[in-house]
Amino acid sequence: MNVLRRTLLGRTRAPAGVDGNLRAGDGREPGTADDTMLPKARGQWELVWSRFKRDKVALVCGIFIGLVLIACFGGEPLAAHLLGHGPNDLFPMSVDADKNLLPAGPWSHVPNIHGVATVTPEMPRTLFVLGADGTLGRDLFLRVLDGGRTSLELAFAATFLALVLGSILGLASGYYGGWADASVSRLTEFIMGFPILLFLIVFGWTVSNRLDQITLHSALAPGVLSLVVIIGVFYSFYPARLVRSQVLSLKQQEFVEAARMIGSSDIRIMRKHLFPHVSGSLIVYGTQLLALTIFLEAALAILGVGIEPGYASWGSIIATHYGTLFGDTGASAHYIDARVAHAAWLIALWPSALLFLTVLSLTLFGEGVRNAFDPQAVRT
Amino acid sequence: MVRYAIRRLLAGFLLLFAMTILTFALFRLIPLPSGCLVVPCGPGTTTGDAEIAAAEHELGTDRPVVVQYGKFVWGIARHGTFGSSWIHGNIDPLIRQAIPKTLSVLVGGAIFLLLLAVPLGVISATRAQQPIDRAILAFSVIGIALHPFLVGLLLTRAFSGYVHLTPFGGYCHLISAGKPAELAPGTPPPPPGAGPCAGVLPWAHHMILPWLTFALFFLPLYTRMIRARVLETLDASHVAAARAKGASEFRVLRSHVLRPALLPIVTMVGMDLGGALMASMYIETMYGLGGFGSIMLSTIAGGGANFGFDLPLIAALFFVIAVAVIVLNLVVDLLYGWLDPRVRLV
Repeated sequence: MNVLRRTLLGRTRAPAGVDGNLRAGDGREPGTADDTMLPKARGQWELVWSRFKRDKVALVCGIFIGLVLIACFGGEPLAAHLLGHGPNDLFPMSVDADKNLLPAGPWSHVPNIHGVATVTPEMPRTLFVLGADGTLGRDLFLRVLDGGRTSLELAFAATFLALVLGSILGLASGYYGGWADASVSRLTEFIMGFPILLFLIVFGWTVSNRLDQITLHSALAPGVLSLVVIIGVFYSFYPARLVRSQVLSLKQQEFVEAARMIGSSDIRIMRKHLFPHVSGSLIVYGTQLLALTIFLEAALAILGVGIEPGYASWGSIIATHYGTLFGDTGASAHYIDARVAHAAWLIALWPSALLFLTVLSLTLFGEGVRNAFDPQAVRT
Repeated sequence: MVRYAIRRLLAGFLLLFAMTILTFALFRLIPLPSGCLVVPCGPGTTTGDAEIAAAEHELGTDRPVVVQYGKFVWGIARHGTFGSSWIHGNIDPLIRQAIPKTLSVLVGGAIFLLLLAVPLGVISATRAQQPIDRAILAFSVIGIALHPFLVGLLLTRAFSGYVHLTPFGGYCHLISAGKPAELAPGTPPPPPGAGPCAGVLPWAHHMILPWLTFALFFLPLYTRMIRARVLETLDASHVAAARAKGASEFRVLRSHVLRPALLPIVTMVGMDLGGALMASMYIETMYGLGGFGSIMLSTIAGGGANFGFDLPLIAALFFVIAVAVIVLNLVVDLLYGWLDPRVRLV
């Protein structure tokens, strides 16, 4: 038996080595047919990982996303602790009143007026790594990290909600068909015709603002939560369509029939036999949705209906200097001083660049995951 | 086919009712008295309860929500009017002046988009894995990652600010109505003697940047979609058969590849109305066109210190968009059945 196993292993290894020299993403998976002959079959996730590893671009993008997450969620509190001030603390002395309110530049030590009785030249100073964020004199470095946290929190929570709701809706409508399917499909088509911004404006922003304004029940609706719920519910229709169309073809296959024959319940069939098949495309869609939500938050902020003012997010930092990224059009036309306009340009550049890189990484990462899950698919 | 269309229309009616009822019901949950939109109220003001009640009576919000909803539906069904909004005056002219603007953006933008996306997608697919395909792919990935708002800003800067080829914003009527063009706030007034701008050329001149922005919004996605579809179709046996018969490469592409490959694009264009409306919201704001998008934004930005939450206006907006969605979905489905004989509508 051992001899047999060794010969089998030896035989399967040789072509694997040859295949290893092929270009990544060639479309052929080395030794898939032989895998069944191996003593231990490799699981779906193991195969996906082995294919994903070969896509170096996607790997680098994944690492970058991880770094951004670490920097925003872990690095921000750490940096705030080390620097000794928070992202929302005001440092009026970091803005030069003599130069048309020019904010402090990168790596400047600004006077720390907190806990100081009188303003003297020898007063303690605190470090602004990227300078001040504008006329209010807050630490841009911390605000970019803190804003990233808000943007990413929103993106991940809304995406998670959308995927969960969407897979439930899609599984149910695809599996049961008939009346449930028809109503979900019609509703999906209908809802997808509406711009989500309208929903966000009408149901989210107005409602939560009114609640805050009138009842001051801050526990009820901090801006992010209502955005998460609305975005999550709205975008759940897209994965629902995706899951539904896949389930429609999957449920005709023998393994579902077999599972039903041995008496599996509908719930079990959906959970154990259908869901694993759609999980790949859900993950891919999830990365797209993450990117979309990050964009949406920025767009909301730019249109002036985003998260509550005062909180930082990438969108809100860009929006404060709206129009400054490519010069002095739009709201920033009031910058009389070229140097101030230039400073504003730099301030908007940081969150914009992070936004761009994060979304770029998410897109390429999603591409890599798609190819890893479905190597035969036409690469788009 | 006719039965199918009737059934779809009936389902659409149901959805329409559900949507408007939901809108009215949700807004009953908001704890702010609607009178506050008309008269100042809240801490620091001297408005009495009686004045607020009078204002509410004038708006009709002191009556049960069912009556208000009935009035809204009756107004549309019997008189074909949305009635009067709470803060923005009569709704009908507001919506009537917005429709041509938004339609110009959407239709022109969609045509622009297809004019750009189809050639790019086909070039990319027929030269798959060659440098030009790689370049298009790289550009589309970067295009996906660039925020559309920033793209629009860059375009405005480049074409209006530096080259002075296009106006900064504003809308010109396609058909002269004697009305002067509306200018975006902040744009300089037109030079004296220019007169009210109307006509095909000024209209197109004002719309070209919005169209380009709209096309760039969706270009990466559509290019890649078309590329994938064309690649798939190129492998089909009927294409090999056409080539074997000696059809020219152009003929193969035009008649045998593009026709089946572009079919799903019809569905996509129809399905993307929500995304397209969102894009037009940005674009109208950015270029100061003043269409539906501006109305949507103005539903929250009126009423002085209060948030301009305006139920009749919002309900009217939802109504118009819902009708557009239902009709468009139906048209796309019927068109699809007509374009693709394999699809049977039942």
